[in-house]
Amino acid sequence: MQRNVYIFGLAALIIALGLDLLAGDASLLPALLFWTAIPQGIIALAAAADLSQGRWIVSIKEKLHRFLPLLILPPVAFLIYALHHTHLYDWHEHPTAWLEPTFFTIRNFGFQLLTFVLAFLYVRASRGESPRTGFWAVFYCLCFVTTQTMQGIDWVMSFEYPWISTLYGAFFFIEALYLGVATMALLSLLLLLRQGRQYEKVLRDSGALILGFALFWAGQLYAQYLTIWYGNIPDEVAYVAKRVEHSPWTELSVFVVLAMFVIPFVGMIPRRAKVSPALVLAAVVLIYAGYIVEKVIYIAPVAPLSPLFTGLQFIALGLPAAYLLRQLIQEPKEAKTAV
Amino acid sequence: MSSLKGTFDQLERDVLAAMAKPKKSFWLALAVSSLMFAVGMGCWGWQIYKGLGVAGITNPVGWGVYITDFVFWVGIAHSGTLISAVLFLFRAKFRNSFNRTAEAMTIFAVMTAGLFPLIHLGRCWLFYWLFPYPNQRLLWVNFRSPLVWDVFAVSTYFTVSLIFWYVGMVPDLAIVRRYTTGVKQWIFRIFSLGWRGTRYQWEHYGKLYMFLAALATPLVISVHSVVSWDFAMSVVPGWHTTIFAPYFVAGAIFSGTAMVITLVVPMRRIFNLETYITVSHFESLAKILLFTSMIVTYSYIVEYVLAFYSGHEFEIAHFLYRSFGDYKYLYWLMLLCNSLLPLTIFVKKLRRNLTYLFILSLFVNVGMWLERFVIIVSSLAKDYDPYAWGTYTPTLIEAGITLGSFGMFFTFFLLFTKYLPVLSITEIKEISE
Repeated sequence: MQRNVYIFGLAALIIALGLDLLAGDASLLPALLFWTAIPQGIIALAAAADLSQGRWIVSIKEKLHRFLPLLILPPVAFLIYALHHTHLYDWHEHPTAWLEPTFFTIRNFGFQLLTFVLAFLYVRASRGESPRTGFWAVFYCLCFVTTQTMQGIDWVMSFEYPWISTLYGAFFFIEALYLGVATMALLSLLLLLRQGRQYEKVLRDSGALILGFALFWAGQLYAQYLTIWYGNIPDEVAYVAKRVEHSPWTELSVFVVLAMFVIPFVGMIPRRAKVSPALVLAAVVLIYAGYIVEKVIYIAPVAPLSPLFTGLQFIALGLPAAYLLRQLIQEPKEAKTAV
Repeated sequence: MSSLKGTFDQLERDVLAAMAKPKKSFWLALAVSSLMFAVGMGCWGWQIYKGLGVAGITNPVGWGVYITDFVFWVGIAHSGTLISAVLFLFRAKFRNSFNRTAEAMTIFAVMTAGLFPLIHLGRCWLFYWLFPYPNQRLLWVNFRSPLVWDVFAVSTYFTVSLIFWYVGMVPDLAIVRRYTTGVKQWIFRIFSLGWRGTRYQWEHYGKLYMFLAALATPLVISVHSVVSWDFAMSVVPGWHTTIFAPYFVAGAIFSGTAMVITLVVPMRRIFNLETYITVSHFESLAKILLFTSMIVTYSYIVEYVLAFYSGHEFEIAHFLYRSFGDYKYLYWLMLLCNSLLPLTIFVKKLRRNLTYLFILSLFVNVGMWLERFVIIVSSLAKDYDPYAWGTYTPTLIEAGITLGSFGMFFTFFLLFTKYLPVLSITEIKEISE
C-alpha cells in the first residue's frame, strides 16, 4: 500500500508538472498550499497528542501516521512551482537579501524536505513506542511551524512585498492544524461508517476540536484585520481593500468567513451534531472549500490564476491523498504497515 | 469501599489542615506582604496629594510603570482561569492540583490590575468618566477607544472569573461547613447554598461548570486581545502589529503559569500537600511553561525579522533601538528570562526539580514584567519625530506602588489560604475514584 501511495504521488507530480507548463501561471500554488497543509497538519496533530499524552487520539493515531508519504509531495511540487514562477513576484526584478529567487527556492525546498525527514523520524519513533518520540515530536512541531510560516510569508505574502502582517505566518500554521483536524474528522467519520462504533468517540472529539478551531481561526482573522482597519495606514489597508471591496472578492470573502467559522461553529455546537455524518461531512467540506477560496483571494488579485488549471491542479495533487484515504478505510482492523 | 472513605476523610483533613490556626511563618509572610501593601498605598496617597508629577511619566513617555503593571497583572489574571478552564475542557486531570489556586490568583490579580488605570489617571476620583452614563452635558465615552473596551472587557472577565471560582468551590464549602462550628459554620452554610451533594445537584452543577468553562475560555482570549489592542490600534512603531493579540494571550498564559508555580511550590511545602500536588503535576505545568515560552519567542522573532524584511525604516529603527538603545539591558534580560532560560526545562531532570522550577518561575515573572516595560517605554521614547524623542526613568513612588501591588496580591493570597480550601477536594475525590 505504501508503495502505491508513492506511485500515485509520482503520477500526481508528473500531471502537475504538465498542467503547470500548460497554464504558465500561479495555478499550482493554491493546490500546493492545500496539499501541504493537510499532511503536515495531521502529523503535527499526532505529534502534539504524543507530547501532551492525549489519550483521545489513540484509536486513530496509527492511521494519522500513515499520511507520512504525502509529505514527500510538497518539496518536489514546490520545486516545480519555484523553478517556473518566481518571475510572478515583483521582487524578482528587484531582489533583496531575503527575497532573491535562488535563496527563495533553496530555503523553502530545504524546509519542506526537513519537515518530511523529521516527520519520518517522529512517526518511526512513535510507532515503535521509542523513548525518543517526544524528542522528535518537538522537533517536528518546531519545523512544521517554521515551514508553514515560511509558506505564508514567502509564497503568498511576498506577492505584495513590502506589505507585511506579523500574524500572517502564524495564521498559516493555525490553518494547517485546522485542516488536520477536519481531515481527522473525515477519516473518523468514514471509519465509523465502515468499521463501527469504536470511532465514535474520536469523531466526537474531532467535532469538538472543529468547534474550537473555528473560533480560534475567527479570533486570529479578526485580530489581524481589526488592527489593519483601525490603523488605517493607506499602504496597509490597500491589501485588505483590494480583497474585500470589489466583486467577486467581496462575496468570496464572505463565503470564507461562513465556511471556516460561522457554519462549522454553529453546526458543531449541539452534542449530537458532532457525531452526525451529514453535519460533520458538511463542516469538513466547507472548511476545505473555505481554505482554498481564501488562498485564491490572497493570490488572484495580484498574480495570474486560471480557474480551470487551479481546479485541475487540486485534483492532480489530491490523487495520492484520495488513494490513501480509500485504503485506510478499506483495510481490515488492526492492520499495520512499516514506515 | 470503606478504605476509599478513609482516604477521602484523610484528604478532607489534609486540605482543611491548611485552614487551621496559622503558624509563625504565616504571620511573618503576612506581615511582610501587608507592609509592602501599606508602602504602596502610602505612595499612592502621596501621589494623590502631590499630583501625578511625582511619577516619572511625562512627554514623550506618557505610559510607564503603571501601565506596565496593569498589563502584567492582567496577564497573570488571565492565565488563571484559562489554565483552569482550558485544562478542564481538555480533561487534563493534573488541573485538580492547581485549579483552585489558579482561579484565586486570577481574582486577586484582576483586583490588583484594576487599580492601575486609576493610579495612572492621577485624579482617580474621576474614574467613573470611563463609564457610559446619562449626564447633563450629554458627554459620552469614545467607544472607538480600546481603553474603553478595556473597562468592559476586564470587568466582564472579573465577573465571570469570580462566578467560575465560586461555583467550583460550592461543594468544597459544604465540606468545610461540616468541619466548622459557630459563626464560621453559619458563614459557610450561607455560601455553600444548601449543597447536599445529591445526584440532582451534581447533574446541574456539572452542566453549569462545563458551561462556565466553555464561556470563560474564549472570554479570556478576547479580553487579553483587547488589552493588546491598547497598543496595536495605534500607529506607533513596535506597537502597530497584527500578532499582538495572540502574542499577548500566550504571554499571559506564560506569566500566569510561572506565577502558579511561584505560589504553589511553597504552598505545597508549608501545608504538607505533597500527596496531592505531585512532582508529575509540576512537570505538566512546566511543559505548559515551555510551550508558551516558545510561542512568545516565535512572536519576538517574527516581529523582529519582518521589520527588516519589510525595509520599513521606522520599524527597523525601532527594533534596533529596542536591542541596542537606552533600554538594551532590559531587553536582553527579558530575552534571557523569557526565551533562553525556559529552554532548560527540555531536560526532564530540571523540569522535575521543584527548586529549579521555582527559581525559573521567578525569572519568568521578572522577564514578563520587563517585556511589557520594554514594549511600552521603548516605543514611546523613540517615535517618528526626533524632536520629540526622550527617555523615561521610573521614580521611587512608581517603584513603591509596584511593590505595593505585589504586597496586595500576596496578602490576599495568604488570606485565601487561611479561609478557603486551597485544593479542590471534590475533584480530587472524583479522580481518586
